[in-house]
Amino acid sequence: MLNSLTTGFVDRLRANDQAAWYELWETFGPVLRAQLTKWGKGRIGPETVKDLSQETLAALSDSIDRYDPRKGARFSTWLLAIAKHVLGDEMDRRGALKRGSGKKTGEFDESWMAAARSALGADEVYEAAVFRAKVEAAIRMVQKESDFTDFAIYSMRVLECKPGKEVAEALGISEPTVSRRLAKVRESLRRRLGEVIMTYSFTEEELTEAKRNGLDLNPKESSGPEDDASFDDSIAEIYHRQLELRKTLTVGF
Amino acid sequence: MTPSGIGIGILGIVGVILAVAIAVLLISYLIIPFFRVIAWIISRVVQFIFGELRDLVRTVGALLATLLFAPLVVINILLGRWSASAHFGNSVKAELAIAGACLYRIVLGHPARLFGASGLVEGIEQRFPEAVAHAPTADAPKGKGGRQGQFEGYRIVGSLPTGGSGSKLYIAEPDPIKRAALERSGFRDVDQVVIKSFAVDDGSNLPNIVRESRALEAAKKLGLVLDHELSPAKFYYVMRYVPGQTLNTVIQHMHAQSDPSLQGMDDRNLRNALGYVADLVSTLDQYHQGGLWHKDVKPENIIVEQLHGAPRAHLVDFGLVTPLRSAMTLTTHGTEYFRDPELVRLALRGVKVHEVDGAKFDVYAAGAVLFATMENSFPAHGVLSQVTRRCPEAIKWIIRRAMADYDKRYTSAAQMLADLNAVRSAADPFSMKPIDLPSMRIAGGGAEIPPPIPQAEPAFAGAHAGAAPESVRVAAAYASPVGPSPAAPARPGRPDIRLLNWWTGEHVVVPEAPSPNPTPQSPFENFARAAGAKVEFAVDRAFAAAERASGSPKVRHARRSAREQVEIARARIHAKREKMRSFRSVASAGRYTNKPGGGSAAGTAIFIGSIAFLFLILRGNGIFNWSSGSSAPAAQSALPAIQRDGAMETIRLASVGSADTEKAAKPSRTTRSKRVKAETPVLATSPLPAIVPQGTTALFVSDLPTPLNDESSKALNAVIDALKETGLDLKGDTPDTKADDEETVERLAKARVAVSGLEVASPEFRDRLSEWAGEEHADMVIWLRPQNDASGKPDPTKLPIAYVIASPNAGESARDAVRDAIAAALKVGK
Repeated sequence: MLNSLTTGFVDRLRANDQAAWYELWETFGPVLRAQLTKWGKGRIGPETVKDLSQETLAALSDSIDRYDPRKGARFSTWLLAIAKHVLGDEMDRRGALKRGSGKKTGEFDESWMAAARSALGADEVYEAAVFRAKVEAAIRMVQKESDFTDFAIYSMRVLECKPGKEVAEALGISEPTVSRRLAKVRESLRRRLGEVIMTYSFTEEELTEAKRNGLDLNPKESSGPEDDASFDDSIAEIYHRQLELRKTLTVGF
Repeated sequence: MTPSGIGIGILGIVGVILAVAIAVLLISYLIIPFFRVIAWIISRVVQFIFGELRDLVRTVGALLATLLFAPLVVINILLGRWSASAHFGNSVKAELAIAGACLYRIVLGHPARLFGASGLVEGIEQRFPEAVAHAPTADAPKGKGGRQGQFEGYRIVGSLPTGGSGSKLYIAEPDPIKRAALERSGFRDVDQVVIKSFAVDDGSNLPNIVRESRALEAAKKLGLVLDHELSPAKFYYVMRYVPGQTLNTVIQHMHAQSDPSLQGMDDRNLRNALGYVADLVSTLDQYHQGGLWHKDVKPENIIVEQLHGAPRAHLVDFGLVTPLRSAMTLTTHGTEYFRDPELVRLALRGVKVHEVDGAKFDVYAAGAVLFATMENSFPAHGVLSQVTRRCPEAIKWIIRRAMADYDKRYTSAAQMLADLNAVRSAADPFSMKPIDLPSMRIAGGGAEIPPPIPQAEPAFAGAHAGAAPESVRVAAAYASPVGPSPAAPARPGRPDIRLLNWWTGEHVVVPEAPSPNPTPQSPFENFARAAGAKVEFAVDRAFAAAERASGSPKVRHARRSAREQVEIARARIHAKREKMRSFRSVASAGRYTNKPGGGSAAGTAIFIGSIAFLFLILRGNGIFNWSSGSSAPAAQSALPAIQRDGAMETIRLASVGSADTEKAAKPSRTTRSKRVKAETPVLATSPLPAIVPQGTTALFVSDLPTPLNDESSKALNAVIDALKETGLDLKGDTPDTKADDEETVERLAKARVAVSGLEVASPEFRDRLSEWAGEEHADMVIWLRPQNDASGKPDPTKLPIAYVIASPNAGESARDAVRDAIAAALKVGK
């Protein structure tokens, strides 16, 4: 079932809202790049990957009018399908450039792609990365709207896994203050996470992803400190996994 | 219970208590410390083992990288691309330095730490590198060369890597006329310059040229551009040349040189790195005060200049410099990871430059550079990027604050600089907490600027007194086009209150020293004011000293005699000359030379050495074989078993299978004679114009008395067996038996007739037999002869000699197989 956030976002994309496109790029760009890097390992370099991921979004903008969310297909899967064809076109173009290589111009050879898909289990890995990207987008939104010190405390305490006492000493505040500010950011993150997931989710299954990943988005239901700790742990794990994914893309420093 | 039983019970209880107490004491004072010592030893050993392994792997990695760079050095030398060659030479040097550091740790560093002798290597690890880094470089500029006429008034001496703007960067030297013109324009001591040239014919495009020309106007405001020219053919402008390496490279080296167990930079490198970022932020502050923002701050655009062990970072490439009050629309130009994502969002919304604070985008980039410095990687996660390597908590906070959202980050570069300088001036940066930072102390975000770090303070008085290198360095840095100020200019802050009595609250307000130049308009003005102030101060001191010496105060501005004035003028000129001389000496230390340096020489030597080493290995494996008919002298030492004596090849049995291949390849006369005395079987072959294909016939002709003695028979049969294994069909007189079929007997007779009257092994003998073999379709003839004694008679105690003569019809492809077979036979024969 679609919600107003989802349809609103798709409408913004269809209206060619640059900010919406950039938001999409910022959220899913790294995942796309990671996927393209996996598929094209040894064949395409990081710069080409970057170009291809942008071409994917360009191709998406050409076909966004044809996308019908009511059919129940995941937006991320659709995006991936476009990325596959963009990469296929690139490989096809390269094959055509090789004179005498036995490949005809325009020939589309997907055998290598099928091999990569089966070898990497791209679907599961990709969908997990897409979910993490949504969480990351929510963290980024909370970072924007939170007070600098509040989010710094959350970052030190949860993302960097520092003890509360150490955070309190570093910032010259008391431990209860650390806990209070932490709770404030956590609450905000729960709310934003719900919104982000609603915005980028097009199927019922996607909506339940958060709970399956240990993220309870309803603060009323999560009453005890154990729930908060579990939520923080899940966020930290997702954040660190996303950090690793981003690191794989930063070659060449 | 009897009293004695009670007594025994009490004694028992006391005994148990005592036993427990003793056990506790033993555990506390003996067993636990014992296990602690054991654990400490184990941890030391584990650290040692892992350290050794890690450094061993890094050494191998560095050597592999060196081997990759070395051919590039040689190739670029051969192509005449001196700049590229020098570039790769520097890489070779860096890799060798890493390998050397790792080897040192393997051999000395880790073992010393294992045995608790860290003090032993302290001098080598800390003081020695510091002394080497601070050692003066060359005193005079090296040779000159280059192109003239490309740019009027400049002679090109080299080139630099180009960026993405389609421009070309050249290093050039102004001729005397141009130098004088520059001096008239206020640009003194211009030794070398960088010319950024755009030509449509050379790959530049018009939008880039237009953008750069806009940047040019902005850069002129800061006095960064010395000269420029716009013609229909090309557009170029001239900046000062800052020699050095990019911060990117320097960061990698600093991390590579640090102890891997630290998981980051060591203290010395950390302080240097913070110094570079402070230089950068200081420069950005100047830009912002001048009404500009750089817009492309990244490690590749920061050059670290090594000046007498006092490295400084310079921000270069102002191709995107934009006035803060520009009415243009924001563009998304910049470099990913170092560009604020908010800038892109605003640009996509069509926001104008003057509607935002562009300085904040530079602050974001400075934070990203600081992150890259600490982490040796891109801040790929934006503000959410995490520093995982060794880094003070206060620096992490500065990064977080600089890369925070647009409205939460530092309000100015000066505020960030204040925080950075506070960490730099701390005795132990790791003990400093975020709460101790100046930006945290002042509510509302107004930074309290700490005093500049003494090291970076301009000290021009020294130049007046005797041209101290430090003062000249500061002067040069000020005068450089993009050189940062040594420290943030002092700004009015909150008064410093000194509490006299805690109980009564009595206090005094320490008055703030007035700033001589609160808002410098340009680096040159700043420099001039600082210099002027210092000179005045020096003059004051001189007068005071004179007054103290004479005991009578003089009127300062009283007119001096003509003689005195002349003396003072001479002294002034002398001091100025000394200053210029010392400046040139300093400038020449970092002077660009397009000739390959030590790294290139090392790279070339490594490349040649590698080729030679590879050659020897491959030769040892028999991969490099050569035609036996070849007259190449090197071929003589190809197979150890084969020795050519003039046109004759001699295969030495004893040398095959020798452990020392090198000795076998070049046997000494002594070794040869000894081997002959030891009755080594000798197999002599003729020059082989061709070798028979496998499976064809070889004719054996034997002049040996039968039966052979055991040793000779064994050796020659081994040769024959090996040849048979290659598929050769051997016929004729084998060493042990005579031929009995008619055809073979007839052919043997013909062969003997063909060479009758010729001395065996003579050139005529070989040529005639080879010719006969060709005519008779006998692919190979092996002629066995006994060795003679001194009187010329056959000596039965000596092993026979076999002469192998091949037909010209034999194919070349089979030669290697036969050669291998002979070599194999020789091994068996031995």
